Amino acid sequence: MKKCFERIKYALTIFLFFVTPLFLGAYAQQTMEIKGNVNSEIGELPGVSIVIKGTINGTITDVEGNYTISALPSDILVFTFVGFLTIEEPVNSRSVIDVSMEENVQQLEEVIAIGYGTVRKKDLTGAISTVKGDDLAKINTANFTQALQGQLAGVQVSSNGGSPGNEATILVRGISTINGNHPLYVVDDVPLDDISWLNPKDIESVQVLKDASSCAIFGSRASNGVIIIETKKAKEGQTNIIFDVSYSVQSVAKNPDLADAAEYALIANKAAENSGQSLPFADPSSLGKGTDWWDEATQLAPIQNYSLTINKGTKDLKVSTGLSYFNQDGIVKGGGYERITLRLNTEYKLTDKITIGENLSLSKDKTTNGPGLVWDVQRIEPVIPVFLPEYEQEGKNEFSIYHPTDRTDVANPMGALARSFDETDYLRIIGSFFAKLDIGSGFTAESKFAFYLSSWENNWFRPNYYIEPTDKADVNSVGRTHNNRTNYTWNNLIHYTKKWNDHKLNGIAGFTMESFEHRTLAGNGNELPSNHPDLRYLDAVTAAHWIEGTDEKSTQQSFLGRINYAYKGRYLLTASFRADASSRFSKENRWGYFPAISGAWNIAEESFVSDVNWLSQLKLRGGWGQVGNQDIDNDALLTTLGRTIYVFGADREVDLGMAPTSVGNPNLKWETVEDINIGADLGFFNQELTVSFDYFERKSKDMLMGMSIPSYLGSAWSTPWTNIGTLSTKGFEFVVNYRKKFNSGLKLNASVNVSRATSKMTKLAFGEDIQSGNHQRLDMLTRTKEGGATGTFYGWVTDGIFQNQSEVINYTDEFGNVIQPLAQAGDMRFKDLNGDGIITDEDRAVIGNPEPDFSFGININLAYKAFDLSMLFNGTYGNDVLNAIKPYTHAGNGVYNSAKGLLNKAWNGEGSSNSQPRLAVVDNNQNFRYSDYYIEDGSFLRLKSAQIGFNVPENVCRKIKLSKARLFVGAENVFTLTNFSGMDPDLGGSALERGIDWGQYPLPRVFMLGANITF
Amino acid sequence: MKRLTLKYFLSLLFISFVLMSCDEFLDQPVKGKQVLSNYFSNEDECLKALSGCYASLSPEDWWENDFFYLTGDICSDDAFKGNPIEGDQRDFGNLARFLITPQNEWTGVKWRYSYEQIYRANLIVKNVPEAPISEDLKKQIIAEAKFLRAFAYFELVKNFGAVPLLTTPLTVDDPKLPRSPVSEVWVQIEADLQAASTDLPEKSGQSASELGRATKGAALAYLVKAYVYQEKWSDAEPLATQIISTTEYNLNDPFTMVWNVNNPNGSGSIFEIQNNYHELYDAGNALPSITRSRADGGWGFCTPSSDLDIFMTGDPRRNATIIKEGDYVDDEHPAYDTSLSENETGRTNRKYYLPIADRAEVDEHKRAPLNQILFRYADLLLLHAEAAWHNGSLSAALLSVNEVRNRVALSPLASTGDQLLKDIYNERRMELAMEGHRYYDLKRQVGILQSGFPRIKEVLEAFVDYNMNSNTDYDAGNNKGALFDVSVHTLFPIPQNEIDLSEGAIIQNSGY
Repeated sequence: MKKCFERIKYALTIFLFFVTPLFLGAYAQQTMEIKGNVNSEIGELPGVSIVIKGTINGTITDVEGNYTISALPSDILVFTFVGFLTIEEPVNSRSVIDVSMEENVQQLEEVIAIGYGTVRKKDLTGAISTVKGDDLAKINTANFTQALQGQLAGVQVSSNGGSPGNEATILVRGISTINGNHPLYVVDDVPLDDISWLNPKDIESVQVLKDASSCAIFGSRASNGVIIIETKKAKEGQTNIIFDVSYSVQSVAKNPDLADAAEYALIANKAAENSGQSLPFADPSSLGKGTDWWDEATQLAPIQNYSLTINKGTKDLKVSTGLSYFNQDGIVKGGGYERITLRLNTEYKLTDKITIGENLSLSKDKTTNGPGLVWDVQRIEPVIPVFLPEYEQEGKNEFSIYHPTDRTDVANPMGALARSFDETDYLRIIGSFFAKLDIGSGFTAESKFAFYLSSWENNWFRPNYYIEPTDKADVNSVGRTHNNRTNYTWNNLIHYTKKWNDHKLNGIAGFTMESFEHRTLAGNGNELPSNHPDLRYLDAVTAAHWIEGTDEKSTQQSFLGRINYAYKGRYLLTASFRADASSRFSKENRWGYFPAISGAWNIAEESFVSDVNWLSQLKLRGGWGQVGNQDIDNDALLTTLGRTIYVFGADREVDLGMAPTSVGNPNLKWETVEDINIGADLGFFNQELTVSFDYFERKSKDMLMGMSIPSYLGSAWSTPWTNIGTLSTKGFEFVVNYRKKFNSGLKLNASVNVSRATSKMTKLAFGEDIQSGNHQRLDMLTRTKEGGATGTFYGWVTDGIFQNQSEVINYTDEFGNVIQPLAQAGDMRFKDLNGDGIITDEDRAVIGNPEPDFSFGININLAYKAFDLSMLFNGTYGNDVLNAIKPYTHAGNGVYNSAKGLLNKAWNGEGSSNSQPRLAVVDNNQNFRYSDYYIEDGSFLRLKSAQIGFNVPENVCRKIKLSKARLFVGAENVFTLTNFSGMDPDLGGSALERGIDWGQYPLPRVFMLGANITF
Repeated sequence: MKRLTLKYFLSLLFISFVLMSCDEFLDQPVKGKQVLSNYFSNEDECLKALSGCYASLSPEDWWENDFFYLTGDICSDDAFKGNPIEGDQRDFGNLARFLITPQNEWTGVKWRYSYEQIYRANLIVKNVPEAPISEDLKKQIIAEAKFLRAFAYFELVKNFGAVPLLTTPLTVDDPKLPRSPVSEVWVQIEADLQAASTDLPEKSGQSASELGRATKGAALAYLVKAYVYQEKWSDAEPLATQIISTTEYNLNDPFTMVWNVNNPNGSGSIFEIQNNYHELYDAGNALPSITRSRADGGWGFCTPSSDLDIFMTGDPRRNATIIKEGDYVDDEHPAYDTSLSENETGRTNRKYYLPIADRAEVDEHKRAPLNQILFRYADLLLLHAEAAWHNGSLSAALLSVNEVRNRVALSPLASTGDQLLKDIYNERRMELAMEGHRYYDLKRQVGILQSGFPRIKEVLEAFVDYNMNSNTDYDAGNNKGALFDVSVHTLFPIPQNEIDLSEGAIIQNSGY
């Protein structure tokens, strides 16, 4: 070990010997006196160091930020100050040089929330990524999860399309379990599972705890990572009013290319001809374009976003309050989202020793749930009009005037849109009250009581109508669902801080209690007197009255502690421990214990590298920890009974019986997720260039999963919860950040992050594969096998197309058996993987993996004078996606609508195609069974957002009585580079069903105009 | 002062720890759900559990059990899958064409729900004897549960052969069960049916509110069928004769009224699944909606073959069995549209057809009010005829088969020898066509032309030959049946996941 130090020292010395002279240079010139003032956004800066470049001559600024220095006209002055970006100013014979310094948000002194406390970034020992609220605010979204995309290494965000108010899927370091990979959100120290109430503009900073050594302090809910969100608080001395406004227009980023009526008819005719059937369309070309259902279903849609923030901070009182309004219409007709939020954060210093305060947020939103047209408008035949001819509409209600479909079983989607009455209203109140007491001797005590109250109500109405026998409702119906969630959290903590000599010690100890309650009540009924809007209420129901509801409650109690120890600021050690008890487990298995330890070595602080000026940071980190997962049903331990239905008697009355519906497992215990993390942080040139690297290995043990059991052990399909599975995940993250203020005044801040996380299922119950993703045409889409990745695509393997009959006959096994006797020229050739001479289920294999090799983000910010430009790219590489609509749009049997150009792409004689089978109605070969034909490369690179801002000059601002104003134009989802044939390869999904395009809501391209005004 | 504050705070903290860290806070009972551990504590609970056992005959949704009752038709020469879209219920199509793998969805469904019924019956047989209810009621409930358990094992044995046999509920910790030999399964079926028949009332002895529950006649009739499946002809015939002599059942209902929403539990009904439309509950039948033509709002599955249609040409029962494209059905359907582009045979099953007025208003695919007849008197008479023929009592056989013919005004048969057996078989095909029996009958019967094989072999060979060579009807050229392998396909595969979950205890049927 010692030898190793010596070597580093030796190498650095040699390096410096050669490099240092480059910075030296002296000229014999006349010195002059230079005066100036150094300030920043927060006012004049005292104590800024000013050094003549290449010398050790310098001075510092006084309390008002003024300085005086003697230098040569050709010298360069270097201004440095802790926490600020270094500035170099050539003297150029000027006698007054005023500079304005900019805070370096990447700086090491930055304080980071790590859960129940904070730490200087410099003293971090775990793997934690951070992003500032201001960077997130550039994305125009109601849900902050969408804004996280591409921002952070190790945090893979899938947007899940662009439906209004939509929440993204977040995976912190990939998959850790097969039952829910939702990270834990902690907003102002309160753990939550719901974040949709939060106005992204209220966020001060986001930190993502990625490794178990960081997460373990949150114990049993932290196995998928922890996202800590700090909301904006007022700072001392601050008084401002900030108004943000933007207006955007969204359009569909990529339309699906579908056949028009003429091509559809030609395909149908060709398919019929190839199967020896009579042609369904007499004159395809006369049909022209027909109905463009996609066009009918989509629209340009606006987003309005207003946000008002007021901050006032004094020594004893800090108040930050805000009001916001967001409104988004869907680019697919029928959906929308609207939200209003109110926030109040206050902190009072009652005495020198006692601080109290509260955070309070109110959020009211309304989601209009559209009918989900995306799937059907791509499948319906284009040869029919939207509406019945007018003479046929007579006497029909407004919902029955739609044209029935003829050849497909798709219900008229515009009819579905007309009948769509489904709204969800949410009211959420999230608040906390806290008191801090400075006990003295380094002890601080803190108690915080927090609540999360949400109440949501869903109202729906379905009219009676008749379009055709398969698309009708004989009776109308209406329903209301009411839900109430009440969660309480009580945190009690003692903080301890002590510094002595070269030692620094921070500690916390505490206990918390939490309770979670969910109450439901739902009613619905049929046969309202009419479809009149005023009658769409339960009181008007005359038949089929239905009511249901229950209470679900669980509780948790925890003890936690953590010690952060630093020696000379170089050797850092963090150890934490948490004990959680959950009501979901039996008394014997109730407690789970989650230890963690991590350390870091700030090599850059060592004396042997203290001369290396260009190296501002060199830190090695390492950690180990255990976290848990308790995401099971509250009744997982019990065998419960449910209602059955039968009929008895001459009157044939319904008789409700009872039978077990589940198989309980009283022996359930915690799932444990353990990982090790190794990382390094490097900084160069006073942190102008920083590089971070992390490697991790994680293992989930006693994984909670539903276990298949022999059918004779209980009710059909019951899968009792067990602790059987194990899953391991490995990966790395890499971040490079470059910040520079050029002499020209151009400021650049660019970063690139790359992450990789690959999972492997190492053990499953009975070794039984888990199948998931039931598709109407392809059956089960994914399979998770022991020894494989989670949710891999599993189907047959194609091997081109039989070009002629002799290829069919010659495709035999070793005994000369024709492997596909039912095939003919133009049919798909499937590989007989097990070599038994017939294509069966046994010939299926893993044909794709939805897990990317890596995902990445690129962030570029430029500022020049009054202008600023920011761009955010993101993407994934090496993941497979499944296009689940292809079985309809590419099957070419002339039933569902086809992708445009299929007529010419399909095999039509020898040599015409080796990938797209012949068009046919009768397909004895099952060409379109689930095969690698449907699997595509999901890699993409997207310019997710681009924004140009203009800062109104100060003198103009002053005239119009503003302290600051910025106007901006922006665009989102500007372009996407991908080989995926569908609309968007950025598909989320659960652990077992990832990367499947189920007709995902299209991605919107957004153009935005806006202003940030500070009064 | 400093010290004081600290002390004060710490003691406050300690007090709250003590107050709050008690287990009470962490004990949260599950609400709104009955648990099994304290069930079977009164009459009502026992009766509800029994009702749950009946419910397994036809769970709520269309796919749960109802759909599989079509298997007896699609796996025979009577019907095709129907809906020609490959991917639409692909495994159902694969079943029909004998491209059957251990992963087949529908054989898996049958397995699951049969064992669910056995589990529910076993819970009753185990717990009801201890329940605080009257002895008479105990007897009645246990007898019905045993009947239903026998029914479930019968379904299993006829579809899968040897199966795991359990007569009490087991848990995850018990060793995994192997397949018990077919003979042991039959012993259990016979024992349960015998026991049930002792304690169950005759149909005529049931009160109006009991109608639809298992009867003595039903238990004995299934016992006859169990004997027939085992070729215990000498046991089958006298027992069938015994049931006939009770005059509990007759063929007085006209043939067109046998499958009719207005004739539930008719005079010829031995056992049927009770279905009705209810505005809230999925208490109905799925098959009327699933088998009706797609143009008429159905799903178009299990469509009768032209082979069957030709076979029944001129038979008075044909119009009550098959609807062909363009047929007059009722005034609302004067020229029936079978939606030819979505119907492999241009035909639908008339027995499950409901006129518009009788269709469910809501969720028809699980709420049709048509009872699903599982065992009717004509079936018993024809089983009796078969058994009598094997026992050499040809006159008794003729008597039964002619009783069936008499209802539809067909002249009595007077054939003898092998011709009589053929006639019984033909009568059976026409009388019970499209009711889910054909495949099971064909595979238990011995071939007439190829006596070394089950009869299904020669029947399907002739069927494929007809379809590929001489058929000029809508279903011409369909080679369904070509993949049938008599050494494999007289039993369905044990579902693969059951084999995997058995940890080696269960061995697959040969050929799969």
